[in-house]
Amino acid sequence: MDKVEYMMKSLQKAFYHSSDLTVRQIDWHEGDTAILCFYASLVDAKEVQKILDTIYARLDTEKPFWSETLLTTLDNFALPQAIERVCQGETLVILPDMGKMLTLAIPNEVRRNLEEPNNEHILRGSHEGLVERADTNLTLIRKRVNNPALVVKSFTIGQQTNTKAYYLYMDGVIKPETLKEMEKRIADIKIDYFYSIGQLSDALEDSVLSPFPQLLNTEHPDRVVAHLVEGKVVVMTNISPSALIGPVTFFSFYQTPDDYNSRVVVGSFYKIVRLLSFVTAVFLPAFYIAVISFHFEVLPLELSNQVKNDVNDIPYRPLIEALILEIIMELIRESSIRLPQSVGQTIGIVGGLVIGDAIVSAGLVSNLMVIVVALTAISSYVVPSVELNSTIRMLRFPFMLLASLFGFLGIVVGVVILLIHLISLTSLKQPYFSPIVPFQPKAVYKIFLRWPFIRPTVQVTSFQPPKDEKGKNEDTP
Amino acid sequence: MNFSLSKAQFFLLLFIIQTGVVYISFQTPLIIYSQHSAWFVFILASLFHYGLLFFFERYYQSFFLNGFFRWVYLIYWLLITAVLIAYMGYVLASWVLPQTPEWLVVMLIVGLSLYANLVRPETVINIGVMLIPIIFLFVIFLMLAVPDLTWSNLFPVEWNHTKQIMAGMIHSMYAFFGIEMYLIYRPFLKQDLQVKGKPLLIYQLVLFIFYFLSVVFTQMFFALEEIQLIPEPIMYILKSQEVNFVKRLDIFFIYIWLSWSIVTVMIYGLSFRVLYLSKKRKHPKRSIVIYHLLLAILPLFVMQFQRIEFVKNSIHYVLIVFTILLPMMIICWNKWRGKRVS
Repeated sequence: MDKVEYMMKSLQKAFYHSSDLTVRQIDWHEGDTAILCFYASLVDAKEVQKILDTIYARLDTEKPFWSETLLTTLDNFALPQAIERVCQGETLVILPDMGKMLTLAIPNEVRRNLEEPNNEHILRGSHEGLVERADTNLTLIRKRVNNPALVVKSFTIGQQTNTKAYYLYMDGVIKPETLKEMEKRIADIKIDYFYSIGQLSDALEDSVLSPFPQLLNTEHPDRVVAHLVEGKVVVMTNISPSALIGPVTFFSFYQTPDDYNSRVVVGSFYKIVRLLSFVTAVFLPAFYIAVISFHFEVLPLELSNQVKNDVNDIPYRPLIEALILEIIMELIRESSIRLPQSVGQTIGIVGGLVIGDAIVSAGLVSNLMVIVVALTAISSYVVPSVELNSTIRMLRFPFMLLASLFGFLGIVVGVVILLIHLISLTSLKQPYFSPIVPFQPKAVYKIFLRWPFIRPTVQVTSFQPPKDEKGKNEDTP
Repeated sequence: MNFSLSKAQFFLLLFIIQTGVVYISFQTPLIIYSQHSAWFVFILASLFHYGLLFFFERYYQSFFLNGFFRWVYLIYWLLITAVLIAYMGYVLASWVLPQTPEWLVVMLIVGLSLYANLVRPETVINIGVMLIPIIFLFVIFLMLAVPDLTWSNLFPVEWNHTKQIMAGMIHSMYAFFGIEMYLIYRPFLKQDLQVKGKPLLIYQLVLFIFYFLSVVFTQMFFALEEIQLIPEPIMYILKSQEVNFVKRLDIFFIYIWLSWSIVTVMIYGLSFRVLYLSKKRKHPKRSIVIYHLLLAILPLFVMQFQRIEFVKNSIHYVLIVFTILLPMMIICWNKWRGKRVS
């Protein structure tokens, strides 16, 4: 067996005789033989042929740097590097006699168009969305920040999948401790097979078991940039359109680009509406259950008569009544997501109107409960973040249970537990409930209002109070 | 324990401790003992409190607790917290939860304090911030009672009954309960922050106005004969307010008061943690759990009408000893010995 044949067999073995692998013997310069090796599924063969023709032409001119172009490099042959490059979609021309390999970086470009993210609709502002290719995403971000201080660092996740990922930050704006913490967590990632952004988020979050997301997940490049200039780190992968942003606060999830693209007063108004929706989304069913089961006396006489008439005919306890409707609501939501968009809307109408009406006529739940659950559902969908939206929808169940067990006392107990959890929670070791905890009076208004001049502020890094109380409450880059 | 406080956190902590449980009820004994002069006696008591704050600020570094006094305060806080929890359970049982077993209410309160004290100390320090808006609500809804107030109830002020004034002063102590915490938390304040002068005056004014309003409102709302029958006058005032959207406003405020009081219990837990763990301990979490286990058991012995009444009628003497006399004695003793808090 000659050298070329032996190398070809070794390569095929190294790639487990994969069907989409091409290992072919070709003629090279002055009677030499070369081996062409690439994954047919990852390479644009026509482009490879064009570059090879250029290389042949350059070889004939006997120029000393015949192999060096923007897309090609010549290195010493080593099997591990060869495997790595082929896996990354590059084409190898192995020259056994010279002990070299020519690499042609012409991967097959599979990408979708830049579309508006389905889960983050906005009214005004950029409608571009991130895609499943890191280089396209970096272009979208660099287009918005023409500054070398925007630093992009790459790393790989998954010891077996070797997925490319990047973290981005603005040098000079980001706090060193934030960057250090993120780099430490990235270095500590131990995943064999990386295939989902959720794996990365689990590895980077402070408390995986908390119901609250500690990294903001977005597909909007303008949102990414807004956070970069506030001194946050953004992590992106080559396989998902989602960018993970940290550190964030609870209130970051209630902001949307629309707040800052609309008028000051309008933006502020909707910010407040959204924050109030948290209260109704989490507590309204629990409040209703507590009133009906324990504290009927709080209702004014006229209302209590109506409620009494309405509730008297229902055979179930308020908790069961609420659970029936809430679970139906969740089923409608799940089915409308999984089904095609047109059918999904139909399911929404059928579920909302037909089942809602029928269930009341059947006497399973009261009219009031339908109103309460509908209001709760609307309130929970107001949250711009899908992650927090799901958390809020889930949170109302323990509150309903506590309210049915202890009435208002149960709600108080639940609220205190929720507050203790939120206050002690951190995002990249920085307070999650900032600027309320630690209390920064000068920054609290920003939660509720969108100020005319958007001055980027860096999130507070510690639970400890700042050194100079008279100074600014937050650092402004 | 390693934490530091800003001025806002320090004063908020003190405010919650001092107002937490007693705000709805301290007016009754004060008015019973000082009659029409209650508001005037309260002004005198507030001046005394301001003086005490000055004294504590001047000499807080001399409040060094040796092993014995550390245990004295740990036991005192344990018992006082147990009494507070018992009172909270008692008020809940009489206002809103007559059917709920007392032990369950105690377990819930203690469980919340345990959870808060097992996480970082900053949680307990900062949780009071969440109470600020609801405390404002308390005052705003009290204002609804203004049309029902009778200002002539405030007079005549009797100057010449020394005994009556003294009794009122002693019963005003309820309002200033927990003031010894000033000495415990003052060393944790960031070193470059100044407290004496304006900040101390503002704190005293806020506390005074907050309490004074409640005393004056109670005095003007109820006749002297009525007040003897009303253990939680603020709640009764709120109960009698008529608003369109709810029938019983007091029920909401009982729960606001409850959450406020739960935070007070948490801060007492934190104080235990601060003092007990000022020496290096092998199992800090275990001691916090044991403290809370005791807290879950002890209130059950006090949660009866007669016992609660007995405690209410006598606890001011205990407060005088532990919040005024003992700290002063310890400060003087350490000053003489030249011992200071490091």
